[in-house]
Amino acid sequence: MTAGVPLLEVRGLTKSFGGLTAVRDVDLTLQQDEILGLIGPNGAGKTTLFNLLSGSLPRDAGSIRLRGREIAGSPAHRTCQLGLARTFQVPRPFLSLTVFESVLVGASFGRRGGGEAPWARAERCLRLARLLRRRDSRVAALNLAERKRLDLARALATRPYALLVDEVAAGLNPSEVKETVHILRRIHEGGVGIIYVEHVMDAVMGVSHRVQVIDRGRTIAVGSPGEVTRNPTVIEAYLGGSDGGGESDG
Amino acid sequence: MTVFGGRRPAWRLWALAVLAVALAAPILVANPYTSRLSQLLFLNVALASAWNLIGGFAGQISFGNSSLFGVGAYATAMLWLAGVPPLLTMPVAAAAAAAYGAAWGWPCLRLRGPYFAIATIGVAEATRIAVNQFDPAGGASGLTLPIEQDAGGGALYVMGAVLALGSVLVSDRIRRSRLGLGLFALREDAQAAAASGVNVARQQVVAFAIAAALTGLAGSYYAQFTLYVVPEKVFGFDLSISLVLMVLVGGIGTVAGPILGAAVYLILEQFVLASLPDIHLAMFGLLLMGIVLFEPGGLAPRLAQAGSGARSLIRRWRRPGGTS
Amino acid sequence: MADLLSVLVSGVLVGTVYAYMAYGLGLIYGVLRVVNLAHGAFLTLGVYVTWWLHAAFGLDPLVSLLVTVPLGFFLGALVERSLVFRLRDSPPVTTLLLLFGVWLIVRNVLYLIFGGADRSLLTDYSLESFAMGPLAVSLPRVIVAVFSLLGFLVLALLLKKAWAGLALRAVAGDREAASLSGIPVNRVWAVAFGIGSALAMSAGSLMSLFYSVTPEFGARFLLKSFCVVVLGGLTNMGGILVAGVALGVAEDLTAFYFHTGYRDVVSFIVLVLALVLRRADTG
Repeated sequence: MTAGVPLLEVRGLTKSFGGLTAVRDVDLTLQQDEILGLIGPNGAGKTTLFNLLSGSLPRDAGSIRLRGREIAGSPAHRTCQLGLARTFQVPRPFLSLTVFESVLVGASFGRRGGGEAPWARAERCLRLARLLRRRDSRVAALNLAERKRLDLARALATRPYALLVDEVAAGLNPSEVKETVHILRRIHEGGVGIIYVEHVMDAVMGVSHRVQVIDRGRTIAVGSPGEVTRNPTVIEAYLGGSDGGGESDG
Repeated sequence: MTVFGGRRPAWRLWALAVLAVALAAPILVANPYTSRLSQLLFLNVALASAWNLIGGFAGQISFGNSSLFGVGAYATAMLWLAGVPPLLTMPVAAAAAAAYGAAWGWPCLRLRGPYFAIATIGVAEATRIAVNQFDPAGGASGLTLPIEQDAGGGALYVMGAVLALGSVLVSDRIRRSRLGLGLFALREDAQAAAASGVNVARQQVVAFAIAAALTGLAGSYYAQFTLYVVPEKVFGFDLSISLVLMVLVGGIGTVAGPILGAAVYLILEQFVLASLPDIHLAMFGLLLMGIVLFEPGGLAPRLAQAGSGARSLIRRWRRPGGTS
Repeated sequence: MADLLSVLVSGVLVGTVYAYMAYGLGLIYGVLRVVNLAHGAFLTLGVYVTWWLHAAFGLDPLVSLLVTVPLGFFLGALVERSLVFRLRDSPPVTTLLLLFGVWLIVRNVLYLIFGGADRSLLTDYSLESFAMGPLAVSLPRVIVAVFSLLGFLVLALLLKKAWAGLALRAVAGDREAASLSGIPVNRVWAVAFGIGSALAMSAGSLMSLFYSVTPEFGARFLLKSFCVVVLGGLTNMGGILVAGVALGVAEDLTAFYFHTGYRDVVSFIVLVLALVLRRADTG
């Protein structure tokens, strides 16, 4: 990999639904070995942005480069195989499968190579997500925190270069949030770049190197967590809600 | 059901099945009636297992498998009448059905749930009507095959046994394979499966083409033991419904379910419907409603439950001091 | 030229009935998100009730609408209450299979009562036609087309104005939100299923004027209904009307240029194409 090329580089990404422009001319850069926080009020377009990046939604305009390679226009499964994986805001488990089998789906169908058998990678990801004890449980038997960690493990098992994490802390209690953030750090230490959408401010501000703020489909601020929380435009967008308090609706 | 436990195939079970089929052969083949019954059972097992690949594993309910069965039956019948030995027509029948299945499966499998089901009805009916009008294939009156070249009860028994056991084996292997894992995942949530790298369209089309090839082989087998193919039968809607019923009764999405369902269906058809032919549609209807309302998992999981209950009972009884 | 014109006119006339026959399916799908495979049962019941009322009491098929509309509503609401409602939280395919079971039973009962023979219903005006320029237009087809259009209009007004209409459209939008805003979702479901079935049964009454009466009647027209509904945009009344007419014309043109035997293939091919091309709405 040539030094200097960003892991993920997005330019001019735009998407409208009918008359409503959900994502407007968004630029975004994720450097190698970075966790980029993505915040914004409800309806700011964060999830739409993820759907565009992951190929679940076709974009109207813009380019998406992963390690210098244009991936915009690739369908969802191809995007994943190229090394850009995602989790879902509301976890979408494969209900009739076991925990191990669910992660095995990612390990078997994700980015090729790595010289590691899919089952071994699945086990490694389960261990990292602290789900190894529940290896043979039915997914249907997991609680919300476990399902969120399973979604992380499934995405990680696809061997991504970059991982899009959508509100993995929402709806969890403080100790579960802590555990989840710890897992995110471990994933990052393993060499995966992360874009992290979150409403739980403690979580996202604590773990991100940089934060990008989106409001009504466009970027209003980018900077370190400290800079962003002092930015007047951001404070206004949140209507004074920039005190870092846990705004935690799903 | 643990669908993908990485367990090794149960070789003992397979050996037992082959042995049972082989030992039963002389008794069954000796009598024309039991010989026909065994042929029908083999046929149903193969058809139901094939249907289950897409209906059970991928969760896509098809009412269109009759179109694949018919293509297989007609491929064999027409080639046979043109002088090709029937056995040699079988690969052609499989290939033709797989090609036809892939051709209409590719666009239709992009639909999910009820939309796919309705589209399959459309395809099957269009095929049936078109064949009815197609004079080179005998039109509505169908084709009669030369009875003097009948393969004979023994050969048909072996052919059927290979077909049925082969279909179950294919089904079992797919269940444990990467393909099967992808199918289960997309059945549960197509979008999440795609986000995990599963090419939803390709996985389904591959599974459907395999199912179609098996269904076409079954059609070819049918032509060889009935020696008569007619569109209303081999392309008929009733055939498609009966496949849905067999699998639902036995247990959808399991390997054993289609076998069980095929057997139960054959018993119903032979002993109940034969004596009350006027109400066979209503029987199908009641059965369908009953299963959907009261036993959506089918009989196989129920039996497995009863079986493990019995096993644990036996274990407790065997263990010294285990009884109270 | 006159031949082609008369084919077109006849296609348009038949097409309006197609739209009327299909609309019930679209309405039920719109409100309940249920694919009503029992639609075929109600169509068939409609033709048989009408045929029987005519054979036994000499009742005109148009008068028998007074019977088939309320009867269809009652039976439809009954099916929804007793069966469909139980599966409201199951995957959509389960309900489809359940309603398919209902249809098989109804078909079988009709075979038991009436046998499988084709019957037809002849009124004084069945064979009448009148001249319209160079064309001879069949009177019953015109009557049926007019009734279908009237029925369509009445329904459009009903859905637009009446309270029931408000509630129906609200539920079609979002079941949970409708329930929270005080709309009795359960009753609305039963009413929608009732109206959809009444439409199907009364379509049977109208169609008995020029189609033969057999237990397979529903099988033939269920799929055409699907075709019209999918082509027309599932719940959009205007779209369904256009789609019905388009199918009627396409069928008549096929029969005219190729072979009458292929007439019914048209709808199946259009159905599959429409489904596949519209998948953006249905995925």
